[in-house]
Order: sequence, then C-alpha cells, then structure tokens
Amino acid sequence: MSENKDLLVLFKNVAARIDKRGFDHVTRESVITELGIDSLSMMQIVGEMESELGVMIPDEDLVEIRTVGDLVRKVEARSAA
Amino acid sequence: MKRRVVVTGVGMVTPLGHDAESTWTALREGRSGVGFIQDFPTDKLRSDVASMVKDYDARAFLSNKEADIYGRVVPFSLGAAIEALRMAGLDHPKAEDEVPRPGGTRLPVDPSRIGCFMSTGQGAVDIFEQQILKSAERGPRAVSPFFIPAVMLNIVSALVSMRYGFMGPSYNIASACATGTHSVATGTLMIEAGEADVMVVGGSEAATRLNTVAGFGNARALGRSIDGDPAKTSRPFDKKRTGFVMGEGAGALVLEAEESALKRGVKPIATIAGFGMTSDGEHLTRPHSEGVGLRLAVERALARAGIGPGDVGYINPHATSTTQGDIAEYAALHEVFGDRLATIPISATKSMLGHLLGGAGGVEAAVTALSLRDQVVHPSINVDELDDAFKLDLVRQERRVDLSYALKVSAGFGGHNCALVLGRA
Repeated sequence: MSENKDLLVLFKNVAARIDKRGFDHVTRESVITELGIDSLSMMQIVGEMESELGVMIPDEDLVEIRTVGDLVRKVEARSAA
Repeated sequence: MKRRVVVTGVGMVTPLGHDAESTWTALREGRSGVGFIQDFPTDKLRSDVASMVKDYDARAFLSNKEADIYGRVVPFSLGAAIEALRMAGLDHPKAEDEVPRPGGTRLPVDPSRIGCFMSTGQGAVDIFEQQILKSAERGPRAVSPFFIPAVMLNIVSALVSMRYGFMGPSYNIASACATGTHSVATGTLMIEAGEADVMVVGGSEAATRLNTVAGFGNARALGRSIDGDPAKTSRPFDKKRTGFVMGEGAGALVLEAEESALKRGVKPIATIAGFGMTSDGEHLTRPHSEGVGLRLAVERALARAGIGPGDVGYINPHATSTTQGDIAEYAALHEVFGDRLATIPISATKSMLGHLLGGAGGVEAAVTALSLRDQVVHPSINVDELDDAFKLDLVRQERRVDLSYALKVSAGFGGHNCALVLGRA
C-alpha cells in the first residue's frame, strides 16, 4: 500500500514535470483523460516512470489503463516482478 | 489571366527585434545583431559568433508544456506568423470563436481558402541534440513521444493551421538557405493558380547550436570575429569577408489575392509581381561560378512580373559574405543588369542580421516589402573596402528612394535559386 502511495507521488511529480502544471489534486481514482493528459503525454509519463524505476511496462499493460490507480498497479506489478 | 497577389501583413522575430517594426527600425539605423556565442564553448569551433534572438517570450501563444516540447525555431516562426496575420486583420484564433465552426468564424476570409507555408530548412536541431543525448544516457525508451512532431519540418505550418482552423494548402518547403524565398514564391503561385485566397508564408531557423555551428564551420562557410568585434564578421561584398554568421529568427508575410484584400478594405503593403525558381544542377554546396542558375531565376522573375531590368530600383541580394557566394551572385546580377548594376541601390540585410538560413528569405522578403511601403532602403554595414571585383551602389546609410520594383534574390545549398520581384502597392 505504501509502495502504491509512493508511486502515486511519483506519478504526480512526473506529470507535473512533463505537463508543466500542478497535479496535487490527483487521486488513484482520477481518470487520466479527464486530467487533460493526451495519449502522447501519457506515453511520455510512462517513459519517465520506467526510466526512474528501471522497469519496462509492456504495451499490452497500457491498453487497459483508465485511471491513475490502474497505471500505478501495473507499474507496481512490473516493479515487483 | 493570373490573379494579382499583394502583401497585406508582415511579421518578424529577429536578433534586432521581436517584431517587424522594431527590426525594420534597427536595420534602417544600421545596427548589428551579431554577438559572441555564449551558449557553448567555441574554442574548438571554426566560428565564435552568432546572431541570436534575445529573451523572446512565447507565453502569449504557447503553453509551458508546448514551450518545453518544441525547439527554439517554433516560437520564432509562430510569433512572426501571428504578427503578420494581425497586421492583415486575420488574427482570429479558432479557440476564440463564439460559435463553433463551420459558420462561427470571425475570419473575414473563408478559412478553407487560407493556407500556410511557414517553412524551415533545418527544423528543431536543438531537440535533435537533446533527445539523442537523452537516448544515449537513459536508453531509447526515454525518448519523448513528442520528439517526432517537434522535429518535423512542417510543425509550424501545422500549428498555424490548427490555431486558426485554416484548411487550405499547408506544408513545409525546404531548400536550405532559399527556403523562405521559395515559400513566398510557391505561396504566390498557389494564389495565382486559384488554390487559395490567402497564404501565410515565410521562413524560420534556429540552428545556432553546437553541432550545426560545427557542421557549417567544418564546411568552411562561417566567419570569425574580426579584431575582437563580432559585429564586423558579416561583411558582404567587402574585401575582407571570410564567411557568414549563423543567425536565427523568422520572417512572415501574408499574401492575398488582390480582389480579396480590396473586398475587405485592407490596404496592401506591396505586391508580389513575379518570381523565378531554378537549380544550378551542379554542386551540393558551391554556387555555380558564373551564377547561371541564379541569373535564370532573376530573368524568369522579371519576365513573370512583365518588367525589364531597367525597372528594378533596389536589390536585396542573398549576399551571405562568403568569398565564392558573393562573386557568383554578382556575376548573375551583372549578366542581367549589365553596367547599370553599378547604379542600382543594393544593401545586404545579412550584414546586420547574419544568415538566418531558412529564415533569411522570409525576413528579407518582408524587409523588401517594407522598403516599398516606406520608400526607404536600409544600409549595408561593414563595407570598409568594396572588393575590387564588384561595381555596386552599396547603400551606406538609410536612403529615401522612389521605388516601383525591388528584386529579392536567394540561393541555397543544393544549388537552389529563387528570385522575387516585389512591386509598389
């Protein structure tokens, strides 16, 4: 759970760095498209998280992602593997 | 009968000013925009100078994220295009429409009849450097998904068409240092041919980065500061010229069918009376020694304008300040104008701005349009001793003229030539 929370913080930090705006209000329930993050920005965020954590998120994981929580769970699973 | 094409707006972002009027004033005053390169060490480079745009703030039309994604070339080009559209009375972004299109636009011209050739020769070389470095350091998955749209040469034509909802022909025309001029010529052709009523055209460049300065320098095309003074480096037609100065910035023109401008009551600045486009078909970087391709371009431009060499009252030359380039250009011009060349006022914008590569033709065509509007031509600086090879009436100080037609000439690596004849509106 704490891992999950840390990944949420990482997501917020990476998204803020990339999109040049605040994401403090984001929760795991936030829907990514509703945050104004388009598909290219999403790929940029994933690339930065991969780089920071030293993991690779396969493309098949990305098709099912709708909320920030979905992404965080996928990243956590790949980090644990 | 072909449609007449007029210029209804110009815009510039240059080392001498962030808009057309401030740049034009500085050029008339004979000020140089050239300084020492500050962004990286130059001790191993063949040039130590560049003509840089200073402190340009693009936040009026780019978000912080966009400013981060795009290279320096984008805000310069977009800024110049927006200024030109504002002057032409066409700066009505789609996002500000009160009613969604179709039907809701405040644009006084059908947006499906407006296109854009805001071109660049090199594109976002800074983003190439940045992302290749990132890949080398952190692996290919760290490369930004925005890398491709950021470095595609048609990025600004795309951004302009998206901002305003322009649905006419929009793409990039690249012919190295003739890019901007070819964009004006091809935009004129689009309107003449009835493919569009308005074209936002011009060029931009921001290749003032380490690797591009290295590349041009290693090709022995660049000059160095003279007597510790960077402003003395760019000296077209002077005996001591050694090469060009890498410059950055953008120039834009709004071209419009004369009947469209008349219908909406907009006063043109100048006309695009003719153009000529040719290739040397000879060498990758060296101009034809007798300027045969360039001469042909000038002759075609005059013929298309329906005028003779005797009607040209001002020449804004390519004049990069390279040894061979200036000689080839003089040969071409002398072949067309004969001994009368020595009596036609001529001044090199690059003596002050350096060489804006793909941006040069855009800025210089806009400057020539302003010369026709104001009936004033700017000086050429740094001609301490005119090379014996040339007999020219180089304008040394701002000069009032009675000008009906002006010639703008450009030539690019690849042997690409383009000439424009601009007329008094």
